[in-house]
Amino acid sequence: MKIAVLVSPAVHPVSGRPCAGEADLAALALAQRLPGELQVWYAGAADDAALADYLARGAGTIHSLNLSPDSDVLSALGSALQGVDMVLCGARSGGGDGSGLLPYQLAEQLGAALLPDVLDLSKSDRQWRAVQALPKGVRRTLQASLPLVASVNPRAATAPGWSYARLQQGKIRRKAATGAALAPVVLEPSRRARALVAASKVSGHARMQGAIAGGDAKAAGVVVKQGDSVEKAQVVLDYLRQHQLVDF
Amino acid sequence: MDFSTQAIPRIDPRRPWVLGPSGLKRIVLGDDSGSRDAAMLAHGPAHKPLRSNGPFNQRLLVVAHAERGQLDDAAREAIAAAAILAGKDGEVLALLYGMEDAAPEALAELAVDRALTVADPGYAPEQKLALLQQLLQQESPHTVLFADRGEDADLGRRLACRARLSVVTDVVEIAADGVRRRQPGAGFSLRERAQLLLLARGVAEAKLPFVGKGERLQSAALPAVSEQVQDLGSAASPASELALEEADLIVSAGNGVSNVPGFLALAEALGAAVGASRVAVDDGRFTRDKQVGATGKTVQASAYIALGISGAVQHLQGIKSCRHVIAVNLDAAAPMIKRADLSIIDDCQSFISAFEQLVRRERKEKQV
Ligand SMILES: Cc1cc2nc3c(=O)[nH]c(=O)nc-3n(C[C@H](O)[C@H](O)[C@H](O)COP(=O)(O)OP(=O)(O)OC[C@H]3O[C@@H](n4cnc5c(N)ncnc54)[C@H](O)[C@@H]3O)c2cc1C
Ligand SMILES: Nc1ncnc2c1ncn2[C@@H]1O[C@H](COP(=O)(O)O)[C@@H](O)[C@H]1O
Repeated sequence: MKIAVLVSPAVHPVSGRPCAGEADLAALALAQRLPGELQVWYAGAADDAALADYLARGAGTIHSLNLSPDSDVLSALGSALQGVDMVLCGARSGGGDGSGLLPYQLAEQLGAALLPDVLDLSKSDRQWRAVQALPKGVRRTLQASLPLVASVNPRAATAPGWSYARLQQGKIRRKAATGAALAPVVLEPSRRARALVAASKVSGHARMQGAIAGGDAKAAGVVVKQGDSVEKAQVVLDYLRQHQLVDF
Repeated sequence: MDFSTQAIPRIDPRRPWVLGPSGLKRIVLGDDSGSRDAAMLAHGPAHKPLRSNGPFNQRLLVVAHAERGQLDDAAREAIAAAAILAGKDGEVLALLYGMEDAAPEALAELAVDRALTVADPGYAPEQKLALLQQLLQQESPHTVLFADRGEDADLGRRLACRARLSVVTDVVEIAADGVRRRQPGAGFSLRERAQLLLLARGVAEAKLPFVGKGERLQSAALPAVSEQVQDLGSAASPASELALEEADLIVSAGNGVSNVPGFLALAEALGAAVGASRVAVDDGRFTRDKQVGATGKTVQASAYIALGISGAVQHLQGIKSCRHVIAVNLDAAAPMIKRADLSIIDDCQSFISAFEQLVRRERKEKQV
């Protein structure tokens, strides 16, 4: 089985230097637990120093597709990854600031099943099982057959520590690649984002009324003073049941 | 001066008045119809005007998953953004999963003009995609909006890749010149407005001064498409193992809780995660990682049960996004009572033991 791990450099939040992304490292560590032939891929224009962190943390050899900075990563990776059975990406690149779109685009391009936000992968018969992390601590188990693309949650696995020996032994193999140009992006200095607000024709008086009372303001809660503790406990349980907050 | 002989023009400060169509107060002299009591009117259900009566020649589509039959703030903001962007001749069309029971008034209040409500089938991305593609074909909306969190974020990304729509994720601002997302280290990046937008929190003010038409399309069934990926079921991990930020049900102890073992037994019986106020942490009853609040953790539970917590602002900051807050306190004037949806005025110790026994009994009955 051929496994590909996709890595892309992140920016360190404090020093601002390029470093390894959390989720990509987790993908790398998860892939190393799986049986199969492992390849690590990167597409883009980052230099060796930006990828060094991955080598020092156990990537071995990184295949790097040389792209000009303004060309599309997807088509380059799509053609390089033909014939790979399982592709593991991070859930988001850049230490969480990416768009998280690449795994979805790749799955579509490769015609593979997509397993998003994976915490664990294991084989069962001829299929693969993934544990997916959902909000509020819910875990969902999904099953799919190869080929598949998984995006890996940063908490899935921990990569080995940074090692100079691994950095020295690691290699970066560069290949030329082509891709379509990306749409231009304009950068602007930081400020507060302005929310969309509906233009309102209500009189000033009504607006003031809305601010102090009435309007959409949340109705005051219910206060229960009567009864003994047992009755009050029943009130709380009824409330929880009424809003389906408990399952019994 | 002799007041009794002089005719002083006196004005009745509570003259009857009516509310004009523009929302202004109108006093009609010599007329005694209308209202005298301003306060009564202000507390009544505010009458909001219709956003636009049509005819519509373009539309925006909002897709959202409801949780327990209700939309959360992120989804409401997405609908509000659509309503604000729509303009006079634009219609707000919504595809809502898990809101089959919503009344038309509730839909109108959300500012939805037309809604397609579908029972949430759980995990079924291919079926949901097929329905969405049908909808795109029939209605051809010029923009599709999703909230960028949870199931909506996942479905939005899938749709963008499947239908080959241009997409911008994590949108923090929609302006006339394009959409902005945050660019670490560089402020904002400005892009053209794409066909599909995934919205971060705070893009729009969810409180709207108008309502939508609230029409409801016949509930549609999901097309029968086979799934690539099979769902083997999901499970909530035991609350005790869960990070506080992830928990859905939290019981939290403050200075008013002295019987800690009893409190922990209640948490276990309920299957709830354990939180604590700073005072309870500082004097060693709980570990630091349990602290909720400004200097502790910010939690997102659906239900937060605060036992013996006064509700200092630093504590309330941490529970801002909790949907249901239940407070138990001896003091009916504590700030927590104002925040809570349900408040019990009782001694914590006796309440905890009564509640624990009740929960254990009910659970056992459920199993039998
Ligand atoms: C910079 C700063 C940061 C802070 N950060 C945080 C933070 O992150 N999190 C946090 O929680 N606090 C924080 N605090 C502290 C906060 O201001 C309050 O002091 C603290 O939250 C109060 O905790 P409490 O409600 O448990 O205790 P108390 O204020 O002592 O309140 C106890 C409550 O329990 C009730 N009670 C007493 N006995 C019983 C009984 N037998 N049965 C029922 N009710 C009873 C009382 O009526 C009272 O309302 C911070 C303060 C500062 C200055
Ligand atoms: N240029 C790239 N080369 C290789 N992998 C990438 C690249 N960009 C993104 N990825 C992978 O795709 C994941 C999601 O990226 P993104 O869609 O940019 O958030 C990342 O965590 C990486 O695993």
